[in-house]
Order: sequence, then C-alpha cells, then structure tokens
Amino acid sequence: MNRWMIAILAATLSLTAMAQQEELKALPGYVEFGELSSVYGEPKVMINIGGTILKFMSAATKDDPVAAKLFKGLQGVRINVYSTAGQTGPAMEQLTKVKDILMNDDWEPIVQVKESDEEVQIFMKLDGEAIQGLVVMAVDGEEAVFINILGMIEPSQLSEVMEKFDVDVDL
Amino acid sequence: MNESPDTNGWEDQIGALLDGELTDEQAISLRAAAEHDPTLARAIDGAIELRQIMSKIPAEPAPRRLRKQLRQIPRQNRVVDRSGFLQLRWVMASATAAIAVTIAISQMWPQGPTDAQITQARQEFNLVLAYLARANRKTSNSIRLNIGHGFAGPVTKNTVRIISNQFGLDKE
Repeated sequence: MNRWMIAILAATLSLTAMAQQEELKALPGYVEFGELSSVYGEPKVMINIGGTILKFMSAATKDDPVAAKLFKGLQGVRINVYSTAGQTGPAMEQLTKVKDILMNDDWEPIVQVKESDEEVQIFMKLDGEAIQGLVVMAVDGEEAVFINILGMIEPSQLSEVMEKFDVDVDL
Repeated sequence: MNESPDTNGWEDQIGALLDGELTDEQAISLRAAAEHDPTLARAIDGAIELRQIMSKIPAEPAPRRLRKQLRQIPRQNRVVDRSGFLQLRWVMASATAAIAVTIAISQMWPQGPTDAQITQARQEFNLVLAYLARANRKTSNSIRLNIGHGFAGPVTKNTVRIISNQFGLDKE
C-alpha cells in the first residue's frame, strides 16, 4: 500500500484515540498527569476507555447487575504506566506536581503512603456526596502508575467488581 | 517525477475497470498498456488497493454521482496541472481521507463498537483494576506495617492479658 495511504489511515486511528482523550478532558474528574515519555520512553501501558464504550460494556454485562451499574456510572477510565527501572526521581517529581494541583483543586486525599523508595497517593473528587473522579498514583523502583477513573463511582461497587473479576493479574 | 503524461487519459478507464464497466477488449488493452507503463501499473494497483480498503469499511458507498464528480475534478484542472497521476493521487488521497473520517466516526458513534472492541475494552478495564488492586495492596500493607509498629503491640499485649485474666492463665 502506498505510504501516504498508510499515513492517513494511521493518523485516523490516532485521531480516534485523541478524540476519546478530548471527550474525557471535558469532564470534572479528568486529571492531566503530564508528560513522562521524555524520561522513561513511551508508556508500557496506556489505556483510555471513553464513556461510549463503557455504556456498551454496561449493556453487555446485564447478567451482572453490580458490574453493569458500575460501568453505567463511569464516564472514562485512563491509565498510564511507565517503567522506572530504578530511576524514580522524575516520576516522584511529577507525582508531587499532580498532587499539588489536586490539593488546590479541592480533591480529597484518601490514602497517602510515602516511603523512601515508593509512594502511593489516592485522591477523590467529590460533588456533594457523589464521587466525580478517582486518582491513584503509585511510584516505585519498577514502575510509575497513574490512574484516573471518571464518573460516578461507588467504591463498594468497585471493590465488589474487583473481587468478581479475575483481576489478580501478575503485573 | 517521472510519471507518464499519458496517465491522464487512463483515469476514467481505471475507474471503469474497477466498476466492471470496461469491455473485454478495453480491459485487455488497459492491462497491456500497464505492462509497458510502470506509472499506469502503479495507478491501477493503488486504485485496486483503495477499492479493497473501501470494501472493508462498514459504510454505505458514496453516491455514484458524487464518485463521478470526484473523478472529474482532475479533468477540470488538467490545463493548469499536467501531472495527471499526481491528480489521481489527490483524488485517491481525498477518498482515503473520507474513508479515514468514516472509520473515525464509525468507531466513536454509539452504534459502533463491535463485540471484539467491547471484549478488548473489558480486558483493558481488568488491567486497570489489577493495577488498582496492586496499589490497594501496597497501601494496606503499609497501614498494616504502621499499625504493627504503632498500635499492634499494645493491642495484642492487652488482648493477651485480658484473655489470660479471663481464663486465669497468668495464675498457673
């Protein structure tokens, strides 16, 4: 196939991913994690699941009401994972920057674990009693993980779904 | 560029070939010409590839009138630009761009995601949950460690003492 055709089609696919990213950016629970590719290279895991596909996932799990309800409330799921290979400095720096932004933007710190070689921060964005977003940032000598879950989240539903799904993946 | 200036004349025939509108003699003649003209051969290959891509897109084909108009665009500009194959390329580029937009819309549109896409999204979601579970384990381990150093000792000592008192174990 001619190179320009491949280029246009490849650009289309990245356009779709970008469109999903843009769709999520407009939501109140969206958090910009910044750029770490220049230090660690491309993320080893990068996932952006938009609201549209989550609604279809909800419809596809009608036999599991808890999962269906969870998917229905969610508006987006994002994750960026970088391999730190023992070089945690830049990721810790980024984590601190994001943490400061969240603190200034009325996100609630839920769990903060800080040790010499690793740090975990979990924040929630509340709108009254409803949760609009959840952020989990975890950095250690192996990897830097940035998770952003957008939408109405019931933590109990989330943990129930985590128990039901076989999520004990060997990461 | 070393494209044949005669390629302009083949555009309609390539379109007609793909539409099955050429007579056997015309098709044979076109193929024979392509054997001696690499530019023409590339133009035919490109058009066939494009047609194959278009056939895989789950979208309604453009109206015949619109396709005819698209094919006529280079002809209208022929006086200005003599590199006919370049024009054909632009027509194909436009068509590919249109396909690209169709793909993008079909992927984002609510009627869009296939079972395979939903399954993939589910797998990706599971991966996110796995990372969440791992972060959860880290924090709970840390909390357990903190409790162990800070509170666990006194709590367990008190518990043992109370149980011992209840059963009179310390008297033995």
